[in-house]
Amino acid sequence: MTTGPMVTGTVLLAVSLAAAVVAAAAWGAAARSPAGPAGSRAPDRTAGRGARLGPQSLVVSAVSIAGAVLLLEVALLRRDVTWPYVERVTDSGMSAYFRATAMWSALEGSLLLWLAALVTVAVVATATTRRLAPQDRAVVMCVLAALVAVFGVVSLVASPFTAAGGSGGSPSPLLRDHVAMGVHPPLLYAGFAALAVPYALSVAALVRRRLPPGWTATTRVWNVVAWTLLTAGVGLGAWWSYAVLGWGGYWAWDPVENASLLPWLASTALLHAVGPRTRSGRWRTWAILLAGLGFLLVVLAQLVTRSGLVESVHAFTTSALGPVLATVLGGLVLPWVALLVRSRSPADALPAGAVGSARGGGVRGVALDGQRTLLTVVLVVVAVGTLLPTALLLLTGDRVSVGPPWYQRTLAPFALLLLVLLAAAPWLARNRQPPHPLVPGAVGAATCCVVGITVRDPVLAVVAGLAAFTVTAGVPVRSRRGGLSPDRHVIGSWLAHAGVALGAVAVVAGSHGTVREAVLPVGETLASGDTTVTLVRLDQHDDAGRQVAEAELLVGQDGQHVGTAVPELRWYPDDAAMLAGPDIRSSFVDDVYVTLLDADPASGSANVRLAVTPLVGWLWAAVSLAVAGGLVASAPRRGPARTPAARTHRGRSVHTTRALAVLPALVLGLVGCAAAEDDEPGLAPPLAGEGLDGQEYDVAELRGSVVLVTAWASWCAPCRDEMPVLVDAHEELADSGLEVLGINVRDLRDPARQFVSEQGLSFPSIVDQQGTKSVAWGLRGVPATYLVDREGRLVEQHPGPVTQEWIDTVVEPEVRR
Amino acid sequence: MSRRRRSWSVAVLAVVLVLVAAAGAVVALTDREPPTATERVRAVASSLRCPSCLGEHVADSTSPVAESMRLVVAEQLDAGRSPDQVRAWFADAYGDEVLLEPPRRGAAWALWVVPLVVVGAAAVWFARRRGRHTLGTTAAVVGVAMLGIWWLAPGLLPTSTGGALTAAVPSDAGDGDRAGSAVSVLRDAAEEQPGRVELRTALARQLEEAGRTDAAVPHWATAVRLRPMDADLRYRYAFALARTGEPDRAVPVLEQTLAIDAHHPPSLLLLGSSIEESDPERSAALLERYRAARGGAEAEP
Repeated sequence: MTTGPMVTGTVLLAVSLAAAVVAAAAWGAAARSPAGPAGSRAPDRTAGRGARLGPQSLVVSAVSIAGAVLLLEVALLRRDVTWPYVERVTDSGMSAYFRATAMWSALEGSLLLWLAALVTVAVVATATTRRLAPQDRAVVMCVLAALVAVFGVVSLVASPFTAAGGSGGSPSPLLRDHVAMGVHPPLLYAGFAALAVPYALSVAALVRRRLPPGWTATTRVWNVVAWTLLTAGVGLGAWWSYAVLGWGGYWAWDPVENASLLPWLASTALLHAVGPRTRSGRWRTWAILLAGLGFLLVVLAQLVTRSGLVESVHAFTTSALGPVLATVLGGLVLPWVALLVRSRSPADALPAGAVGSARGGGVRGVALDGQRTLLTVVLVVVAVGTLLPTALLLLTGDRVSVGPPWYQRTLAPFALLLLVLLAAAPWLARNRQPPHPLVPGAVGAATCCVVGITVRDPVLAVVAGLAAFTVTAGVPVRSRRGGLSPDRHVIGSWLAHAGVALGAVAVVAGSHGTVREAVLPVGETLASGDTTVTLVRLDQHDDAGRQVAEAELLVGQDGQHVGTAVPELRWYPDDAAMLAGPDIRSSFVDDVYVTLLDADPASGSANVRLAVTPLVGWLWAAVSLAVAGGLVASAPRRGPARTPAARTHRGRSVHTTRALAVLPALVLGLVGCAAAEDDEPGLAPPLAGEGLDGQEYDVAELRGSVVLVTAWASWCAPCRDEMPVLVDAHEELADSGLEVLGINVRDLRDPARQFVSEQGLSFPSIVDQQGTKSVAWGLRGVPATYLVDREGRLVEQHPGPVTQEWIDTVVEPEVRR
Repeated sequence: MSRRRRSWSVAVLAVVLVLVAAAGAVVALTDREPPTATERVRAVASSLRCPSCLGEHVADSTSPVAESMRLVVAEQLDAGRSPDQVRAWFADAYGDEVLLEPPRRGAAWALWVVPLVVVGAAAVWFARRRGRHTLGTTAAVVGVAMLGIWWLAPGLLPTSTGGALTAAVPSDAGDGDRAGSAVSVLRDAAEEQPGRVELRTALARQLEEAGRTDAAVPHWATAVRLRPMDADLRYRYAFALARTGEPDRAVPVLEQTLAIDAHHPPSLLLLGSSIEESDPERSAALLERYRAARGGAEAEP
């Protein structure tokens, strides 16, 4: 059913799309119209008309989108259930705050939010790109308006105004369980959208084949804003993951988390290409490449998050949007790459800076270029870890897992090198009197020594030493000679660098955490290092449609009572979802993180996890410092910004582009050549032990017969369904040499025996009370059935309930072979 | 101060600082405590993917399969197998996708080679851009080679037999020590909130477990005073009194318990056996009632 407001919403989206197209066309015309000499501030009539029509249309577009957002919000707040989308994302028990933020809890609404962020950025950009010459500005605005139009189309394809109700029911309890989830997406989207301006500027520079006047300053401002928002957004996401999910960590290297990290890395590298004190080495080439790359990675992130392409906890459900977003990504990448290629190599046609400047950069230029290269390599490695497993699955069908150990091994060397460069930052900055290295050197050495002796971890000692050096060396002091007070850029970069250094210490120190887990009866104690928790109370109550189990634990440190932890376990019966409500007691030194994994108030016992992780609080402080640094640095500068002179330059030809083009071919070749695993079936794992009937059984003794090994438990409903099939197969094929042997997994004897008699099981079952025997067989969950041939080789496995078809097509031929 | 002397002092100072920093790192490197058994299990478990979950490793997952897998890891490490051997065993059972650090074989090989190719290309590009400095090129080549060894070597070396490792694994913190500190924490908490029955009972239980029933008696007494109608609490108080050799004091407590709940089985049993000598007739009656109550309780479900 479609109602009036829903039609209005669709019309508003269409109007905004049309207006954005008009704006793009107007600016496109203004950009193409021949003006006077480049950089002239006197536009001719066509350009003037275009310059008027452009902003007007863009404002119309923005107003329409704002109207659409408003319509949706009103419907959400009134909980107008005639809208399928509203019905899908809200339920009656939600507070106004969660109803308002429910807009971006599903795919369609979050796309509308993204569109709103993008159009806001475009409108703000019309007012803040005045440093550029009108012609160049027209290119930038044309690109931005085109982006709004493109995502306008996406939003019409997946519109909250036409979306179907879906079978999902009410939104995931995770999204209405914590206030931070309302803030996190808008923050991240704002940062993502702000990167659109550097992308547009990158296109403008490539179109003009030079860095237009005002380009660097404009890019820097937008990038600093984007970086600050992204840092806050990514940091908030990590904090939410830590404080709400209850697994005790903050970064799981999940594809969706990584997808938000990639633009941040590009933005960080860009920050160190266009920053006024880092313009050294081949910064112009880097700036153009990184400015474009940032937003392309944002679109890639959208594709990863919304297409169901990768497996992730955070991804939206699989949608048909994948191809659309892939087209958008292609539509953004191809023209940009075409422009790059048109200028042969960016370093060729673009003003890569006079060669003298690159050489003149000397050690500083090398170090700054090295730093950009390192950040980009980290970016590529993270992208490989995020996307390559999916690519391999599609290409070869092999499942490969990439987890924290892989990222640690691949990224650790680069992280260490980056920390060294971070420590050297004050000596790499231009226009600045470097500090005397004695004091920071002494502080760093002392820290390294003390940490090494007390904690006995060489990595932590080195990282802490470098961090102490970084923080001390960068302290913005009044220059002794010039008497100049440090400007905001210096203070901002010091804050951000101190944040990164502290964050590194916190991350490395986090590996010294301890985790203990136990089932505690009330009154019992669990200890982890010097920290103890004693369960003193356990109860359960109903709270607005959810059941909350609450435990009270006394926290002790070194035998001193330091406080009380009250972790919760919230059960949402409607969604069949269990959420942990961990209790975190933060201190300067460590976090005591208590999670309730399972609670049984009736028997008065609870499964409790106690994790003590050092310096987690430092990480949040580090993120705050970095954000503060970004805020300080993005504050407008007093006095007019000096714009670097534009120069065209045709340098010597370098074969880099060609060399880089060989890479994909090489990679494909390597993947193709990688020896495929031979699928020769191996010997079946051992399985022997006491059966439910008290006798001893061993699968090895059945050599000579074909054996079906089936894992079951009395608590597993699908097992009940499959048993008749197995019993029939056993009776039918026993004479031909089929044996069936059960594994009774993680079960109690009495219910298991009852199951055997109820189902009339004709075969024995080995007891595997702790599930350790079935782990050798690669059991993922019951039921599962394995086929062992007469030579004792494991030839087939069948997860899930056995079907008659499987018996007929796989088991019977093997028996009759 | 002459220029020469000054540069000398700077050099000496720099050397001293480097030595101080190095000293810390060296001490840390040589004098590291070996990990405890729990830490070793956790380290291996966190490098295995939980096969029935999404994006979780075995160490953190609460799924039953992960729990069984943790037990297997502990079993195998106990048996003296090295972490790499344990991982290889799991890869056999569950396939390579169970390894969170992909193996250096098959399709997963690409995950090690692709980053190395990227880094190599970046290094070549970087070195060439800087002109023909042989030093830079050499440094780049050496760096990439070292990185290659760091990334690829673990798969190329034969897995070591982990026999030697098991010798010096320290056990986890002693239980007695833990109980002692838990008691003092509970005592602090009970003093701060004297009216909380939960704290009193937990403290009394821990004291009993530590073999200090006499110290537990006053806490049971306080708990009973705070919650006089709780038959279970009264029974625990009486039980502690009986165990510390004061059955005479236990008897009135139990009498009151039975006044509250005439069919409280443990109280019937305890009172019955306490007065066996002084009043055999009543004792027999009580024990009969106990058997009736027990039988009734068992027949119920």
